Amino acid sequence: MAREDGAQRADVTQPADDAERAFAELEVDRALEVYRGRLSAADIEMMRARLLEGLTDDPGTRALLRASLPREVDQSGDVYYSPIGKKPG
Amino acid sequence: MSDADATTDSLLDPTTEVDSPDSEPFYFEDEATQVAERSDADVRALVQEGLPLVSLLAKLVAREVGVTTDLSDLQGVGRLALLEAARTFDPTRASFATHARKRLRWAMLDSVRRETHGRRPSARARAIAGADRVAKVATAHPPDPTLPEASHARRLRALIAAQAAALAVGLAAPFSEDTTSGEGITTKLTSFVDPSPEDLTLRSRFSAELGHALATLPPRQRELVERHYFGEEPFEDIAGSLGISKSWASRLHAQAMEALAKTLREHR
Repeated sequence: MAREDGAQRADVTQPADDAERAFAELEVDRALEVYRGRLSAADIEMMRARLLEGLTDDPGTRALLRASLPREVDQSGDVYYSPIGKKPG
Repeated sequence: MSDADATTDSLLDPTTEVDSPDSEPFYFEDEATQVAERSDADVRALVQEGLPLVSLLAKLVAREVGVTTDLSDLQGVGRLALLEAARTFDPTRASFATHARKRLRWAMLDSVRRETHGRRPSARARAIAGADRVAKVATAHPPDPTLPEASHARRLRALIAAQAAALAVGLAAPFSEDTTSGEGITTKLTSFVDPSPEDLTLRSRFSAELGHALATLPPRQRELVERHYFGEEPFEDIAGSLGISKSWASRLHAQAMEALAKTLREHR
């Protein structure tokens, strides 16, 4: 499967797609674990909303988010063998 | 510059010119004198294009800082910032929407900080601006496409942690619940409901933990954080009294937030 370079993905002015948003939520929730039980639920919710918005709206952080996305790899386990004597294609 | 301040870490791009702090102005208050050569008609066209952003961002900023009623003050600030954005817009650096959005947002947050001095919206505005400041420093250069995604992910994680620390420090700073006195925004906008006793206990405990974490910072980083978040001093004033530029102060701030995030995580 073709690898897509994170830094060369689609224009950061486009809205975040589902994969970006899911990855951003995962990373933000991970960062906020430190503050759960230390700050109020309302404060945590405000922090979460702000961090997510910054990640998906600011071109600089968005570019870093895109570059950080796990790239797709073929996990089917299937191995392709070309038929002997035939050219692929 | 102390050795501790100069330490290169995972958040700040080591290729940034750290020894020429005046060469790269930080954020928009530094760019006020940069006026592009643009006709009045072009400026008017850009203002027209950006007008829908004013109401949108006024609502967004009001919600973030915890004010819920009359938005006319924020919209007034936004319209002035839009005009300035149209005059200073450089199409080689960003789209007008991106440029205007940042300027408007910053102007509105700055207005809330000034108008609600000592109160909760001011603390929240400072917290949000602090997180934005960290992002600005950490993403000064685009990601290097030759590096693997794991490397970018580590930087992203460090950035989010440092931004979260800036927000947490801002939220933990002391403020008054009084919204009945003063002029401008405070007289017209309603603050949050009062925090519960449990929330106050949490805040008090976290403030103590934060105090211990702050004590581990290098002296200049600690002074910068304490004076800005707890003393409510403008960044430029602190930078001036420390004898450094605002852009350099922003780097110290980002380093401080990354260090605080690490300390708070380790003492969980």
